[in-house]
Amino acid sequence: MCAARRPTVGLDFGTSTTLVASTRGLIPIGNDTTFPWMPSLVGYADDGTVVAGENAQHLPDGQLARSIKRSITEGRDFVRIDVPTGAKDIRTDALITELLREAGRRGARRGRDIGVGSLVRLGCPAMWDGRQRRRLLGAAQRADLPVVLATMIDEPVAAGIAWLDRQRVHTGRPLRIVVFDMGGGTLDLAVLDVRGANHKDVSVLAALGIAEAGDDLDEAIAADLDIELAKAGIDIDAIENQPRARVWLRDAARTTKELLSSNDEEPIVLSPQVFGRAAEIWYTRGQLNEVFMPHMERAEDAVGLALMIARITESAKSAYEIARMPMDLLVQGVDVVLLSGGMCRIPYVRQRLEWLFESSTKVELAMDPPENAVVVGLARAGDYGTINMYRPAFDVLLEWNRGQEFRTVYEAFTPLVERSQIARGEDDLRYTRNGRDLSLPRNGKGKLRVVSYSGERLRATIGSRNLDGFPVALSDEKFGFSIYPDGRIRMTDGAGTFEGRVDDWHRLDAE
Amino acid sequence: MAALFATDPSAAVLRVVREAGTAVSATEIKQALRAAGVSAFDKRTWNRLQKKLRVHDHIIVEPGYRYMWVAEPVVPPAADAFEQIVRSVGGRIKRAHAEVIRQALADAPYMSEIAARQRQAVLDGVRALAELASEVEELTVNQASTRAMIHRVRSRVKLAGLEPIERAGDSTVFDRKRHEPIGPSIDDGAHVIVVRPGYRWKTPHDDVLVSRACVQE
Repeated sequence: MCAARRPTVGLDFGTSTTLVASTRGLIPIGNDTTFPWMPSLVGYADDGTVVAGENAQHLPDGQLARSIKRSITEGRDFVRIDVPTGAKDIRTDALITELLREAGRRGARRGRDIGVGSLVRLGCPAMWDGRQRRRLLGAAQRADLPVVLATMIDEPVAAGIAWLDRQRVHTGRPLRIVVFDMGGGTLDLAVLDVRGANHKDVSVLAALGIAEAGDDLDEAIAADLDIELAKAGIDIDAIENQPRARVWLRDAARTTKELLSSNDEEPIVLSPQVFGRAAEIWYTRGQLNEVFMPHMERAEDAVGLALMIARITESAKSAYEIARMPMDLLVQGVDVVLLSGGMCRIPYVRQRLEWLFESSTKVELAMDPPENAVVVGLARAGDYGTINMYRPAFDVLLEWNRGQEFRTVYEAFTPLVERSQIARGEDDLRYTRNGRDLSLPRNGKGKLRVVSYSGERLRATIGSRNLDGFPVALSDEKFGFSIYPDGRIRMTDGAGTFEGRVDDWHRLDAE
Repeated sequence: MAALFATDPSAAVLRVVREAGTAVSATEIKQALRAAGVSAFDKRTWNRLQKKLRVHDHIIVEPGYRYMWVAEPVVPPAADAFEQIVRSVGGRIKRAHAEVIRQALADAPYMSEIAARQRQAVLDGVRALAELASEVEELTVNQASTRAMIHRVRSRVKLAGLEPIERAGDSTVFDRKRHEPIGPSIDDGAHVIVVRPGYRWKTPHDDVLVSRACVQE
């Protein structure tokens, strides 16, 4: 069965929840619960069996791994968990495998077989590099999910596709989209360039993330409520069961945050059993906004950085100039800002972004509810061509000795430009490796090899020949290889300097 | 074999194919029949036998028109089976009828999904109701003020897209489109007291009157 005819399933393995969708929409996979998603929880039951999803919710904290996805983001390989034989360091990838296997089983029970006959598109944070992506891929494959690197899609790109898929009218002109995906664990941002007939070609000009989102806001609101209670004469530190009061307050913070998405004020009615007396405080949206302000300021800084990277990808201006561009220039030309993730229900998010961008820029939900945008976009991604120009999906290898020895010159999904390079205002922004970095032999003959993970062969040339198979005069002194954000390639070897480019990347100034 | 062919020629042909243990051509079948003592038969007879052979459940036709016996009947996907039937009946089927069946077959794999979504829609409503009920109970036990109680109830239902019509205890002027009298009918414009509020369900695509506000003169 060819890939195009295989039923496609989207799987969004989130920090807090895991969702599954077919091309027709969300497939509810919640068990013994009214929610359509499965909690991203996994742990060890008392009898030593691994349990995932809702069953893990009732485990003691020591037997449970929360936010297991973060172990990949933070590069942690093990997590300490209480098993029947005592505390043990468990490989996090093995736990992720169990969680994904459970999601696959549930999808199958609801009529969507996530087996060999189907094609799974798995989301991943845009900020992940090749190694992080391969970790999730390995875990998914061990869970018997039919997924390859080519079917792993950046989460903000998927959210953009969910929105594009619902657009009825296509003007034909290119669209510039910023995706603002704020969930429980991370804020993911992407700047997309959408072109082609019916807007089916999506290029990622920039993608980055910061590990700060909803959970941090809950903590900040709880801290603010602590102050409000003090004003009302209730000192939490003086309460007999202080931990219980703080847990109660955090729960109230989360509820109040949700309810303030549609109201200007909300009452918080204290439990006399927990706080020793009855009391009522009213928390306003203004107070919430004030608490949220520093978070949104950091989020806006990240938006600015993403827009700078996008400018570097498309513009002839020097990085020095772009790094000093004021925000009101950076935001120019953006057609739509798409909001994705549960945190985007908070009106302040939209309000701040409306203030940040030009009045002609639309700010709207990628879909309603915004928590479903990524998984629905993943399921629909087969109809779209996506090219990641910021973290290209190909390896460039330099091999010699008839392929018996090789070095990775460029590893797929490595950002072409580091944030620190922009911050320093470096002028010649590019990804570069030299012969010494790679410990190349002093001389000899080699060849460049290209391994594409996009599902299609990469069209790239150098010195008027194919990049794949291009001969290289090895030299530890002279060898240098660079990829520029606009798709230019330059290689210097023992024989000279060769210019080339990635032909698959559209020229942003061409339309 | 000759005796079997005389009484049931199709069964004889099937036995030849089954006993061959591999895919055999029409020529090989005829040779096997002749070798087993079956007297020569005309082309018309063979054509009739060949038609039956092709559609037999245990026979698959391999490239080069070679026939092979399979122990388990080959069951094609429903859509492929339907297309085979359409082809075999030629123009003797209405196009619209065929399309209806094609659409139904295309939807079939999604039926479990559709059922799961319908169940989820019910669960979403049940969850909203349960959250409201538990919150009211909690607020009552925590001695919430009437203002806080009503505010929270309205906040909860607002999340579900429900918009209140009037407020219990308020005085207003009767409007039959928004109000439901308790007891005898009331003339438009009469002064009334709101006994309990009504609700509209509003979404970007829908505006449904769920219940009118109950009023009394």
